[in-house]
Formats: sequence, C-alpha cells, structure tokens
Amino acid sequence: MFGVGARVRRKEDDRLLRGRGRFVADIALVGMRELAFVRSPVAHARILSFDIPEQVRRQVFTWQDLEPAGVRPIRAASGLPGFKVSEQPPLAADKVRFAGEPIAVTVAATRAEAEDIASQVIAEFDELPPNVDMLAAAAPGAPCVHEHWSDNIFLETRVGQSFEKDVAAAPVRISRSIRTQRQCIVPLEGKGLVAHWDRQAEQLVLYTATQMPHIVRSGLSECLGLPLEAIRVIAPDVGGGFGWKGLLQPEEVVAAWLCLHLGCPLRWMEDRREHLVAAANAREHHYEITAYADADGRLLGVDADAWVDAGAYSIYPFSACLEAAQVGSILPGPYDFPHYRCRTFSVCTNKPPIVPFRGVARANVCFAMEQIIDAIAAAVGREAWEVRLLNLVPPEKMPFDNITGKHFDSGDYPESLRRAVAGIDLASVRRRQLQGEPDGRLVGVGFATYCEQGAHGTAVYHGWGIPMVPGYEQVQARITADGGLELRAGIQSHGQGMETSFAQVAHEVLGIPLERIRLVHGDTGLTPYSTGTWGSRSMVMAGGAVATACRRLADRLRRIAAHLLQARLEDVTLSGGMLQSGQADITIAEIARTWYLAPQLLPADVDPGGLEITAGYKPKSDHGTFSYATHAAVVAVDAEVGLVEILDYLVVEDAGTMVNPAIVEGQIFGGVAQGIGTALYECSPYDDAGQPMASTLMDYLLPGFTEVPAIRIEHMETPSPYTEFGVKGLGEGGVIAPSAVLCNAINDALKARGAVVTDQPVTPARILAALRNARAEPPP
Amino acid sequence: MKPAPFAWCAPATLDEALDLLAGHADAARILAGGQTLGPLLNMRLATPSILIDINGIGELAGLHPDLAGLTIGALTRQSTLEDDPALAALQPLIAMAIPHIAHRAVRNRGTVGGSLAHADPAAEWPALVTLLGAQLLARSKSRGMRLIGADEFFITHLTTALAPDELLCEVRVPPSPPGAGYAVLEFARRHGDFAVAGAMVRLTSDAGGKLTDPRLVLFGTGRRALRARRAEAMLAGASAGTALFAAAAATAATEIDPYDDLHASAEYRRHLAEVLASRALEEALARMNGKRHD
Ligand SMILES: Cc1cc2nc3c(=O)[nH]c(=O)nc-3n(C[C@H](O)[C@H](O)[C@H](O)COP(=O)(O)OP(=O)(O)OC[C@H]3O[C@@H](n4cnc5c(N)ncnc54)[C@H](O)[C@@H]3O)c2cc1C
Repeated sequence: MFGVGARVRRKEDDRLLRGRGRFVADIALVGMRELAFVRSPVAHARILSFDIPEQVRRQVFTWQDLEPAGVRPIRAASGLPGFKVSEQPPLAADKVRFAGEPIAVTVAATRAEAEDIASQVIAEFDELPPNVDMLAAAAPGAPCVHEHWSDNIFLETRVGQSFEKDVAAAPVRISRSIRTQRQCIVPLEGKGLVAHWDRQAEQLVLYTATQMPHIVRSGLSECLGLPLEAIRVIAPDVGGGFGWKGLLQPEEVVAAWLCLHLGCPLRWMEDRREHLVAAANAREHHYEITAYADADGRLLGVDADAWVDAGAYSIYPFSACLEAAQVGSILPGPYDFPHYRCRTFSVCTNKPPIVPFRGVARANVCFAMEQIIDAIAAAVGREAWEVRLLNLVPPEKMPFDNITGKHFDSGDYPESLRRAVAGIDLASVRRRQLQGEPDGRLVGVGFATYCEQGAHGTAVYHGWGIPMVPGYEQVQARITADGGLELRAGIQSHGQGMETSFAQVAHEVLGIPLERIRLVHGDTGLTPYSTGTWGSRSMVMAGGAVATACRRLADRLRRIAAHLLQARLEDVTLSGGMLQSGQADITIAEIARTWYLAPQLLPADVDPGGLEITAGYKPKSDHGTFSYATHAAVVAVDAEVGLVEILDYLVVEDAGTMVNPAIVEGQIFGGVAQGIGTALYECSPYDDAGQPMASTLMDYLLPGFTEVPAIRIEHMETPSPYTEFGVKGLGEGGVIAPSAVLCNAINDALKARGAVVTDQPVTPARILAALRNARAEPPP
Repeated sequence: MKPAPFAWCAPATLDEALDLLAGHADAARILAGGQTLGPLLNMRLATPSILIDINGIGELAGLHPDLAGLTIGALTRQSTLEDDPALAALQPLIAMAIPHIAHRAVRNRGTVGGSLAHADPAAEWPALVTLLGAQLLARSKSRGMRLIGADEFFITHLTTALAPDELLCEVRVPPSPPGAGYAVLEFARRHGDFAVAGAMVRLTSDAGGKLTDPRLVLFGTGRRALRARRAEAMLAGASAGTALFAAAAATAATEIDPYDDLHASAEYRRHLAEVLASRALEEALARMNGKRHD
C-alpha cells in the first residue's frame, strides 16, 4: 500500500534529516557579495539626515539611491470599503515607523564587513511619539503613524446587527476582556536570499526562502517595474515558513534592485536578532466579548469588539486587514447560535507589520471563544464539555451554513468532543482533584473544540480584495520515456512532505512506484502559476490537480494501450502501473517508450498532447474545507510559584481522508508544540518607547522538547464531499487549540481558589497575580 | 550578528598565555568554551582586539581529588564533571547542580572557569563556590599566583576580582563534611534556562541534632550569588523544623536585592527566593536524615 491513506516514510527526509538539504544559505555564486541592513533604532521619527563616512560611501545605499532609479514602495491595498492604504518604501524614505525598519543597506565581500560598514552609518532623527498599544493607537487624538491618515485604523469591519433586545431576558450574560500577545514566528531557517542576473536567460534570478515564489515574483515586478518574464523566483529547500515566508519582503526588493544596479550576485541572510526585532510578527489581539446563554448553557448570542495590532505597514499580498476581517467571520467557531455581532479594527501601530501565522486569527478566536464557553459552563454549573456539546453543530445538520455564511462541509463535531472526554478520562481527573496531589499542586483539565477553514476558494479571497486571489490550481504531469513521472507544481513544500504525499496521490491513480515519481516545486521558471503554500491549501488544491492530471494521463495511456493490445478502449483497465485487457497487458513504461521512441506504432487518432499534461483543479465548493478537532489536556499547577506542567495532551481530529497519516500526525505534533509556545511561553513585548524587548532567544522563549509532552492523537476520517478523495486542509489545525485548552485547564485547576486567567501567554507571574486577585476579592 | 574584527592566538602553554595577557591585558579576552563569549562577540557586545584561546592548554583541564578536597582545572568542561562517576560521592552538591546548567550541548563545551569568570548572577558555579567556600587560583605575570576566596571573587553582576592580565587556573573545593545533606532548587521557565531564581542548601548536624554551619545561598536574585547569613544564623545551633525553615526562608528573602527583567519582576523574584529556600531546606534535611536518596 503506497497510495492515498498509506503511512509511508517521507521521500524528502533522507536528505533533510541527514542535513543534506539545499537551503538558500547553501547557495554560493562566483563573485557573490553580502548585504547587511542598517535598521532604525527608534520606533517613530522623521529622518533628518544620514552621516556616511566617505571611504564607505559607495558601499551604502538608501532610498535616495533607490527612488530615483524607479523603485516603488510596497503597496498592499484591500478592496474592502474604508481600507486605508500604506506605502512601505523598502528602505525608509523620510520617516521610520518601527524600530528595526530598514533604512540603509551595505554591501561588502563578507557579512562581517558589511556589518562593520553598517555600524558606521549614522542617521539623525527627529523623534515622534510612538503608538505602542493598539487600544491607545485606536483612540481619537493618537499621533498618526501615516501622517496623511485621519486616524490609525487600517480598516473597521462589521458583521451582524445589535441584538440586545432579543437577549434581554437571557439568564446568563458573560463579559470578558481577553488579550493575546504579539508573537514572532521563528521557523528553524530564517529568511534569506541570493539574487543574480542570469545573462543567458536575461532574467533576474532570486533564490529566496519563500512559501510563494510566484507571488514574490509578482510583487517584485510591481516594485521594480520589470516585466514578469524578466524575473525568476526559486525557493530551494525551505526550513519552515508558518506564514513568515508568505510575503514580499522589503529586503527582497532592495537586494533585487541592488543586484541589477551593481551587476553582481548578492546574498542576505536574516539573522535571529533581525527575525526577532525587525521581521513581521503575528497574533496580537484584544477582545471585548459578551455572550448570552440560557439556563442550560445554550448560546443565545455573541457580541464582540476585536482589535488586531497590525503594525506599521500593510504587507504584500495578505494586507493589514486579513487577520481582523477573519476574526469577524470565524469567531462563532464550530457553534450554532442565533445572534451575532462583531466589529473589528485593524490598528496601525509603530511596530513591525503582521503576517498571517499558521492558524491565523483562528488560534486567537479559539482562545477567546473557548474561554467564554467555559465561563458559561461555570455560570450554569455544568461541565464545560456538556455546554460545548449543547452548542456544537450536530452531524445531522451537515453540510451546514453558519451564522456568518461559512459552509461547514462534513463531520461529526460532537463525536470528537465525546471521544476527547473519554480519552482524557475526565472522571478520573475529577476524582484526582478531590483527593488532592501529594506534592500540593493543583490539577486541572481543559477542552477546546474548533473547526478550521482551509483551502479558501476564489470567492473568499475576492471578498477581501487583496493583491492575490487563488483560482484554479494547476499541476503539470509528464510520464518520462522510461515510465517515471515528473510532477510540477507552483506550491512550495517546506516541511509538509508534499514530495511524498503528491507522489502517493499520483501512485493511487497511475500505479507508478513512489520512487519513480518526482515533484518539482517552488520555481517560477519550472512550474505553473500558483499563489503558493498557505492556508492549508496545497494538499486539497495542488493534490487535487495532481489527481486530475494523472487521470487525464491515464486516459491517454489507455487509448494507446487499446491500440497496442488490439483491444476495445472500454476493456482496457489501468491498475498497478499495468494496462490490461483480458490476458494481454502492457506496462506504462512500454507505452511511454512507444510514445517517445517508436511513434510509428501509435494509433492515427492518438492525442497529440502525448504523455504530458497541465491540469487545473478547484474543489466542487468554493468555501474551502472544514477540518475540526477537540483537544484536551490535563495540567498540574504549582500555585506557589506559578509553574504549569502538562500531564496529558490528547487530540481527536478529523481532517477528512488522510493521504498519509504519518504526515498528518507530524503536522499535528508540530502545530501543538507551536501552540504550547503561544499558550505558555512566547511573547514579543515592546516598551513605552516602542523598543522590542525580546531580541534574543534567551528572551523570546520557545518551547523545547522538554516543554512539549507526548501528544496522543485519535483520528476520525469524514471525507469532504467536495474534494478529490475527500481530503481536507489540516496544516494549521494543531496550533489552533492548545492555548485555549491549556488556559481552560489552568483555570479548572485554579477554580478551587476562585482565580481566573484570561490573557496569553499564561505565565507564572499571571497565574500568581490571578491567585492574589482572587484572595483580594473572594468569589461571592 | 557577525563579530567585529579581532586577532586570534592559541598559546600552547600556560606561560605563553600569561605572556600574551601581560602584553595585551585590556584589549584581550580569554576564549574558553565560547558558549558565552561567542554570542557576546556576534552581537558585538564584546569587541576585543585579540582573543587568547586557552583550549590547547591541557594542564588547565581535569579533576584532582586529594585530602584537601577537590581541585578542578578552569578548562574542565561541565560535561566532564557530569560524566565523572566519582563526583557524586566527593562533591554531591556539584553533581546535583551540573545538570541544571544549560543543555548537554552547551555543557560539552562550556568550562568551569568560563562560568566563574563570567560571573553571571544566575549561574550555578558562582553559587556553588560561594556555598562550598571554595578558593579560586589565579595567575598572572605581574602578581604571580593568587588564591581568592569565593566571597571576594564575585564583586557584582559580570564583575570579578580578576585583574585584566590574570587567568583563572583552578578551583579548590574543600571536602564535603560527613553526613551533609544538600539541595539545589531552581525556578526556570524552561528546562536548561538560566535560573530566574535558585537556592542551594547544605545542612549538617551535631550528635544532639542541632544544625551546625548551615549554608543557604540564593542566586539569580541579585547582583551576585549570596549567602543568606542572617537566615544561616537563625538556623545555626537550632533544631531543624518546618516553622524554623519557613522563618529562615522569609529572612533570606529580605537579604537579597532582586532585579526586574523580562522574565520576572523583583518582587516575584523575592517571592520565588522564599519558596525555593524553604523547599530546599526541607529537601536538604530529608537527605541529611537519609530519607531521600535521589
Ligand atoms: C543556551 C545557553 C544556556 C545556558 N544556561 C546556563 C545555565 O543555566 N547556567 C549557567 O551557569 N550557565 C549557562 N550558560 C552559560 C554556559 O554555562 C557558559 O558556558 C559559561 O557561562 C561560560 O563558559 P565558557 O567556557 O563557554 O566561557 P567563554 O564563553 O569562553 O568565556 C566566558 C567569559 O569568561 C572569560 N574566561 C573564560 N575562561 C577564563 C579563565 N580561565 N580565566 C579568566 N577569564 C576567563 C572569557 O574571557 C569570557 O569573558 C548557558 C549558555 C548557553 C549558550
């Protein structure tokens, strides 16, 4: 078994796990020089002048060099009404808007020398008051980040109407203020690039660590004024992206221009400090939520205002408003209730821009909504899972259109919850709580259920009106003369194992052995156009295109086989890489040899397209797929010092048909690990002057293997009715629930002391503060 | 994050190293395991013009137990100590503390001398030598050989009594008193991180069960690892007990001068110091009484 559903080892792991991958940093070109960026030391200021020592003047470039040469600012507008457009010159023009913003670039033979020069470039600033907190920045009278704007709101969105009258008699009313922190994304490999001019192809070639080479190419074309055919973008092996590599970076624009200007290959590698202080961030939200429920805990309505700190600029292509706009549409989660109103604000601040980080907006929304469910349960005196069960969309309503028009394709949400309750053994946790722990720690259990839209369709993105709208996804498939298969796809596999899973899909259709199937990806010169790998879309979209292309090839193979076997077309079957009719058979390799090397044997009416095809694919529904899961965790809290230990962690998930369960599980393990970071550790705080305070990995805390427990996974497998094989997107799912689950589990542990934590990350200091507050105001 | 230019030299003998130090004292930095200095150089927080790499000087590494205690060469790697099966019997506290230092990969390179010379207030080694009353042996061309007591060695945050031309050569740890019970407790957000706060304890008692020469050191809670002398005075000559330990821990928490950083406020550190001190006292007592063997 090697096809869809087989737990085969990943083809790419042989090189990746042995350290033999080829990443940007492994690429060296003759005559290559290195770049270093000079970055703004202040958060908000006018640039008055540069002081550049004469002996290095020719190795330093600023916007004064780029602008006259025709380089244009990065511009990512949304078509949503009221969106305010920001323009980001790739090197700051007359103003800096966040500490870390690139203001100049230096070129030298080595990075160390480029940094020596960078340290001699001094800019003089006229400092302006910074906008550091999103709520203050959104208030009237705050200094404007973009001086020609009237306030600091990129965009305000509204969903639903006020419904207070309808719930005036609701027995339960819960209000919460909830904060989630700014995070850095921190893939193992940072960003990096090598740019050179290919004289033969007359092309700018940019090797860059990206998830979306075709989109970077479009963005470069816009900023540099080069036609698309003069640009080739290649993503070699990429060491994780999670969204951070889903944007056009200012550094890419600068390096590309400089390479054309200087006529030599150039390299820039993001270092960890640049990543932590100067790269785009994610996930900083503030919620004011009120929920209404009946005496059983049935949700009657949810009313919310949400703010997202979108930083200083709108990034290309996702824009500054995607995150907040998503909040408005997905806050209701997997629940069915009658009333909903939500306002969202994308707030512009003097901090780095934000990118959609794995589980964009969903992790925050889940954190907020699942706390509310637990609070309702506490108010009505029931187990939190019972209240969840009461409100989840039941299987008999599938497919289901929810209150914001999301079309849930399939699944049994309540069953995932029931299994999680059984799997975590809730009853024994409750007994254990009654007995108490020998070491005095407090034990708690938490649950969270979510559903997750993946593989968003054309209409969804058209609605946001950003510079990128996914349409049909195309894959090119070619059977080689010796019976192998080459697949070319415009997505980019950077940890998702697509070299294996796409081969499994092709094998399922054609029966060609996995080791004879190659995936070429991540190169605009070699692959069909694609918006790239993001939003849990590649398996559904490009995987669907692989299946479509292979089916068409199978048809052509059958036609040739029928001729060669002297059989009727309808009698020819393809299985296990063999075409058969009755007793007669012929291999794909033999047909391929005939097509390429003995065409005289082909039928007169053979398809002249031969054994090579480009096929496009879209699922039957444009709404994307909806995976879902319930996560459950048991924690022990040391109430004296505030430390949390995760004793058990269970995921019951359903992402439709699994192409490769091992890859699915890998995605979930990694996602949960990242979610534990969000829940307990990661935070990129800024001081009042807008200075980033976590500039090294000693201060930006990521969970390591000692902080991530063994994670148990139970699968459910409800196919999507709309996709090839019933697959659903799942790349982001694991990261969505952990912060909600752990927060709920910690609150369950603390409830004996009347304490509640509401903000992320749940640090020891926050736990102790909650316990202190509870002592100060004992519950009524 | 690339270092500013520097020259590198690798003396083969102690004498050569001392000559180089004498010649370049203020502009030079000694390179031992590089686990601290490497990042400092890369971030350009340190910009020496010459690095004196002592890794080739074999005589600076190794353990030498004798009747006077244990002598540890400055270039001894943390992992060498960790892997030494005899250490737990000779110096139980050191054996207990080493696994708290960073991760194995860092311990493979990081040295005892580097850790002491760097004098991070949250590091284990300064706390260890302070509690154990160790002597640190330094050499230089200008002063010759000098033995410095742990109490005088650490001046403040990242500052020691070493002169710029002095090389720390060895640590002399007195023998462990018979029947001592030890404990090391740390609070860190993640395994392997520097302690946000930590406590080390050594308890011994006389035939009548009265505590003799009790030692309590708090680290990560001020500008240097600190012996909580007032708390120790409360314990000395008294009979061990939970109420006494709680009172001593509360007193110890008043002796420190904690600081704020991203990971903890000063007040939180003070709170941690008290909790850890009392837990460490209990644990050391259990070990002294033979009730705990881990
Ligand atoms: C991820 C990480 C986590 C860590 N966690 C901990 C921890 O939990 N606890 C802890 O204690 N440490 C921790 N450390 C620090 C680690 O233990 C270092 O190895 C140690 O502090 C320095 O030792 P070194 O041999 O690497 O010294 P180096 O980095 O080579 O030198 C450090 C300083 O000491 C000076 N120096 C070195 N040797 C001598 C000498 N013989 N005489 C005079 N001066 C000298 C150097 O010039 C330099 O100024 C951590 C380090 C890392 C990277």
